[in-house]
Amino acid sequence: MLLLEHIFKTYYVGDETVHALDDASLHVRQNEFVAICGPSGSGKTTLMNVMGCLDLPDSGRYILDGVNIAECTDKELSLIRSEKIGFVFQQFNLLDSMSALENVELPLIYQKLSQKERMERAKAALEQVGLGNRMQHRPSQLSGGQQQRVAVARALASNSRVILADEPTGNLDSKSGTDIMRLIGRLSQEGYTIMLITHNDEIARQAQRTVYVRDGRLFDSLEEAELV
Amino acid sequence: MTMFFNSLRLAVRSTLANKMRSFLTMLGIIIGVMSVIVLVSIAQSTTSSISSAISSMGSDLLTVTVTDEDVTLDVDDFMELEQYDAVAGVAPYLTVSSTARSGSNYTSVSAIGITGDYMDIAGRELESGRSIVDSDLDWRTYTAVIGTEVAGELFESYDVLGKTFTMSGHTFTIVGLLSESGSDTDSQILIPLTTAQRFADSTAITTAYVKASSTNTVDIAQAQTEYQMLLLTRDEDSYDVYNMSELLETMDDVMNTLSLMLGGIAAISLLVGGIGIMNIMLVSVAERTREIGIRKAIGARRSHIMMQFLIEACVLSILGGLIGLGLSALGLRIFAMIADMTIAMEWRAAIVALLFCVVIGVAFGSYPAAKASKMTPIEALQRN
Repeated sequence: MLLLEHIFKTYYVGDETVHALDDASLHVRQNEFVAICGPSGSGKTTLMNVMGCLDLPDSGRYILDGVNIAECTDKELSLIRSEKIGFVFQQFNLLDSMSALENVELPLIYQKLSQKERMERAKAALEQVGLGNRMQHRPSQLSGGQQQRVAVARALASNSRVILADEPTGNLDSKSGTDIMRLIGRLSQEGYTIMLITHNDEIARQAQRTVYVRDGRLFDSLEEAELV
Repeated sequence: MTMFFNSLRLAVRSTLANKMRSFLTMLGIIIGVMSVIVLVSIAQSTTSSISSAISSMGSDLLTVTVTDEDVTLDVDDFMELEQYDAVAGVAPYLTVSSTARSGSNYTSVSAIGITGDYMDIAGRELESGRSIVDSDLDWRTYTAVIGTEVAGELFESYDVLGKTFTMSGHTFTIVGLLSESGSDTDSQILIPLTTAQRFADSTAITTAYVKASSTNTVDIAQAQTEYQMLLLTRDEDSYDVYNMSELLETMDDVMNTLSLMLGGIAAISLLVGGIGIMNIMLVSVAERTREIGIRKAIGARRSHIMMQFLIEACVLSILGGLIGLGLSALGLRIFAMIADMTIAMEWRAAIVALLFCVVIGVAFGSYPAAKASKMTPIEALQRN
């Protein structure tokens, strides 16, 4: 489903050079639930940005669902983000000026669906995450856990088969965090491919497989990573 | 198309969400549109009322004015013009400014001393009663034909025949009422020329109308009149002979230039309003960087972001234009009431101003919109 080969990504901050991704290779199969674990500054957010087609690598090959991302135009990247990837962010990233329903509906507008179909899909997605009775609420009127569930519903509504979750429980209390992880676990069982980025080992353990990130490099086990 | 309506709905919503800011942004456009429409409408209405006053006098009419104070011509000198074949009639007249009173009502008027032919030559018509006739001149009677506005001011009615008023210490009897013309002739009082001469304490005549025998002979009549005036005064700088249609053309030219200039000045204020829109759109783009990032992450294309901000700029400018249009309609009505004239809104100016608003929205919205659309998603998401 996702194939990263020898990905390099370097940032220049002032005089300093940061190797955010240093020869990173990763293969994620369809319907796999992979946790990407690492301390802050290890390069896991850069990895997520590259996998989510929000950022392009300096070199290396990234193939998503059979498409070589390096060859895509800006317009095609938008289409891939819209149809193949669902994002769940640590800060929820909902639009405050819109209701929960409108937030979930937003990616469907960019997919050029009819009003009727948008409504049906957005409502179904909100019901799937247990917010059928909160559709007209603004994000500011919802709790953190509820907001994150709206964000998950937004990812589901777009019919993406890949969900990228960047510290989805990072801004939540433990009860809401558990709820969200339970929801993500259920989605995994339903056949979604899930990439979960976290610095919390306990949360990472809920995934089928864990990849460790240290200084921009990927390791299959914690022991290897600790050697760096 | 769905995209368009969604962007439009969002734009209207964000305009309403920041009411004060939107209003202040639109103020430049509102003032600009108002000044274009109001100034051009007033200029055009004034022109057309003056033009219609002049053209009602007829295009076969010449006016003769003696400009040199040392030249004194009398009625007979002017009547000599009638010997020319292209001249159908001559009407010397004398204007005296005065105040007319009736009971406790009074009004300032132009009292014009006329001959029996004046009404016919100057193209004036009676509403009721009779005109000033030659015997009135012979007897120097205190009779008067008055305009409708004078009738209204003095008697609050048009039923004035036989009524009297006083002017310069004499009592005048009204024998006729002029038809309403909508111009300044409505506030005139016509009296016998000889009576006016007594008021002015002079027999000198400085103004006259000369009617050509037909509209085709106006030029000949003008040449003949100029020749006669030269014979009488021996100085070509001491008199002017105007052709009415020439006057009309000159005036139209002047007024068109004037309204173009006014419109131009007002258009500059529209331009300034556009810069205000660009400014606030740039602020809005900066404020909503995160929103742009989110939208891009969930699949918005550059063109979607571009369109959203462009439509928002257009909504601001068009809404401002429409408010300006509404306010100018109101302003013109109030102005017409205060100035007591009929002013029609100049629709061409209104349409041009509104189209200009659309152009401004697109022109000044595209830079901020392009700026927003060019942000990369992570750059936009990382900024808080």
